[in-house]
Amino acid sequence: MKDIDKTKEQLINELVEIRHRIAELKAERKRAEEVLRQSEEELRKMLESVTDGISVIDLNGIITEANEKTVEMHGFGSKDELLGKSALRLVAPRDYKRITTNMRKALKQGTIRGIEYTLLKEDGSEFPGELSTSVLKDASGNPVGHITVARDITERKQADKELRESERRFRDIAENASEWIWETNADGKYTYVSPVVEKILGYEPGELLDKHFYDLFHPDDLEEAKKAAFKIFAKKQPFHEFVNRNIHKNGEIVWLSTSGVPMLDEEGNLLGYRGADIDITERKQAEEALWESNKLKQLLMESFPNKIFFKDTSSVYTFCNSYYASDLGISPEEIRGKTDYDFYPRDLADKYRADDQRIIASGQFEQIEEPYKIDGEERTVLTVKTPVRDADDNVIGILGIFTDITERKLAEEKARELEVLKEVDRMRSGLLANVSHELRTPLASIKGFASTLLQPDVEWSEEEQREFLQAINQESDRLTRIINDLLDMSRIDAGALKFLEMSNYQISEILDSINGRLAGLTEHYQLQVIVPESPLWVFADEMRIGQVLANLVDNATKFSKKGSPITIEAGLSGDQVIISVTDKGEGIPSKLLDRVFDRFYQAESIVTGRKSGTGLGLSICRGIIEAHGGKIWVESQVGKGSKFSFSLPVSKKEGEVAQGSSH
Amino acid sequence: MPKVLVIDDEQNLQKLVRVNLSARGYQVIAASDGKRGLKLAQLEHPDLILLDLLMPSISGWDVLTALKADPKLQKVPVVILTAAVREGEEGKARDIGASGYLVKPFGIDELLHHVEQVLRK
Repeated sequence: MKDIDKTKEQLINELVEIRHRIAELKAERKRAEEVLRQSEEELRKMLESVTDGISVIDLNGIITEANEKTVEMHGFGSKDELLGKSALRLVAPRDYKRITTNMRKALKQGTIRGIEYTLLKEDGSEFPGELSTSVLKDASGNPVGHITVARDITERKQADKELRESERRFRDIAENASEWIWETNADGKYTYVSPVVEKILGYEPGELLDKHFYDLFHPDDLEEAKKAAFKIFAKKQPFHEFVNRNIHKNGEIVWLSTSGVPMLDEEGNLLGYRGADIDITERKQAEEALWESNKLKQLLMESFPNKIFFKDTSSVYTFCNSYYASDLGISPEEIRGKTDYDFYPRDLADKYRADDQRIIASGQFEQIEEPYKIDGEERTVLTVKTPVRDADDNVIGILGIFTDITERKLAEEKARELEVLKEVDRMRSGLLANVSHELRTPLASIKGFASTLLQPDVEWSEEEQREFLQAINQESDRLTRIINDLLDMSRIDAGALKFLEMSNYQISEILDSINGRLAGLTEHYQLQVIVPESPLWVFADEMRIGQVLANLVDNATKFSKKGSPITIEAGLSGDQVIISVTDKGEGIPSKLLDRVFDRFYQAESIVTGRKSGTGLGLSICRGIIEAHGGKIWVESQVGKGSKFSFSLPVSKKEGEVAQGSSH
Repeated sequence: MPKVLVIDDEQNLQKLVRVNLSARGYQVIAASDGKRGLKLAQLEHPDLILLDLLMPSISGWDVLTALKADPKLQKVPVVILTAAVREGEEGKARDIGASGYLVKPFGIDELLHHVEQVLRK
């Protein structure tokens, strides 16, 4: 229908319709505008909330829009400072070419993501950034510009750098360390092996990547070592210094000390182990050599019939042989770290320690003979303690060797006893020989003169006959004296005091009583008697003390030249009366001084050809003086003479009994 | 008239020897110890020496050894007179050169017998 044909009413209706339509369109547009406004608001909010810088750049490269993050990232004061500027202001000049190329590429492709550039801040400083660019098109699909999303990757770059650094460091360590670094998976198969392994086991890292850690174990150790290792794997535990024996590619044995830590995922499942191996073959060999040397030392120590121990400088045992250990009731291995205080009473341990320390200090070995109790039995041991020195000559300990010398000591004791018996026997036969000689000498004269008188072929004058009989008489007396000596000796043996007749006497009285005898003995000598004027009282057997004095004077004459002086002197010393007989004779060698009072001693003189008595004289003197509670001694010098002295206790009842002092 | 030297420290023994030998025509000289005995032997050159073994200063053993070592005296016979009767001593004395060995006490017959026998040789 054409418009002309339309009726007026129809036209009005159409107009109303149009106006209505316009109103509707107006409302629609308002709604659309509202939606658009909301959408823009949402977009703005979104742009502001993202952490990346987003900007819009027109085809001339001018920034037409940017979010706050972009402003901040490039260090501008406000968005206004940024808008209207060339986008190239935000890129380092050396990247211009690359970025324009990429922009063109984006126009063709639509989007280019994640390209790194060096970006600039407002002040010209650089920072790494990653840009993604999309082409912006109008409704007809014609490009009108770019939307660029920029991200500051300074931190990521830093982290990357650190990671690379760390990796490099690890590699440096892994590849240059003397340890061999490795990683395995949960089955124990190597996933990483550092190159050092070639030096240690002869294999290139690649050769081991298919192998399990236990594939190189020594066959003898394989089962046990594998079991031990997987026990650790099962518990996901770290392990330290697991010592294992391996076979080098060339067949030699390599000892390794392995340490490792488990690698676990987030749920705690075992991913594998990571660790390091140290080659300890040399150490092991040294240990083995030491062990061998110790074994040899032990073997040596065991084969000696002595008890042997070593101690350090603190007197702590380091080892011993089993002979010694058995004494202590332990095994030789148990001695290490122990001291004598663990085994011996404190005083004994103190002594042992003092011995050790003295020897360590002096550096001189010592032989110590000492009692030693074992199983309650007293024994004697000879301990030789020797300082042990290191290569620099420092004392580092002490070696003790001790020998049980109980049997030897007993044997020595027996030998000594036997020697004493032999000596006694020798003295006895000496005495017999001497007694026999002494008896035969007067007998020779008695028999000689008797048989002279009986000779029929000679007529002896009466005077001669008297002379012969006098000699017989004299020699008979001599014989009697000798017999008395022997009897005295046996009395002294039986108990000296019994034969003494004790009373109080003055020394001068005793001297007077033997005056005649002394005169006879010293006929050819100069006898001098020195007695103090005040009386010296003794409680004594007058005859026996007289006998002692006569004997000493007789001895003096035997050993000095005729005409030489002999002096008897008496004096008081404290509560003792000292009486001495001094001669200027030949004297007694000092080595014999101890023996002159020994019974039978002079019997020895037969050997030297010395004419003497029975060898009992001085011995009898000693017996008599000791029975009186006194002492007898001698001082002598060869060539100058001898001085025999004896002491007697001063009498306490001098006055009372003085009267009845004769016998 | 043979000259006899007696060396003995016992005065009675010297006298015993002297009276008996003098009575039988010997010339007797005497010494009381070894030292004097040796000197007397060198001076007097006796035909026979009677020697005691146990004496002071020089023993009879030393005198015997010295006599036998002296070229002028070694041929002079020596008879030992001794009271010591240790085993083996007679043999020892004879080894050194003693011609006789008389143990004290002895009878005069024995002494005379020894003296005559030794001098006859």
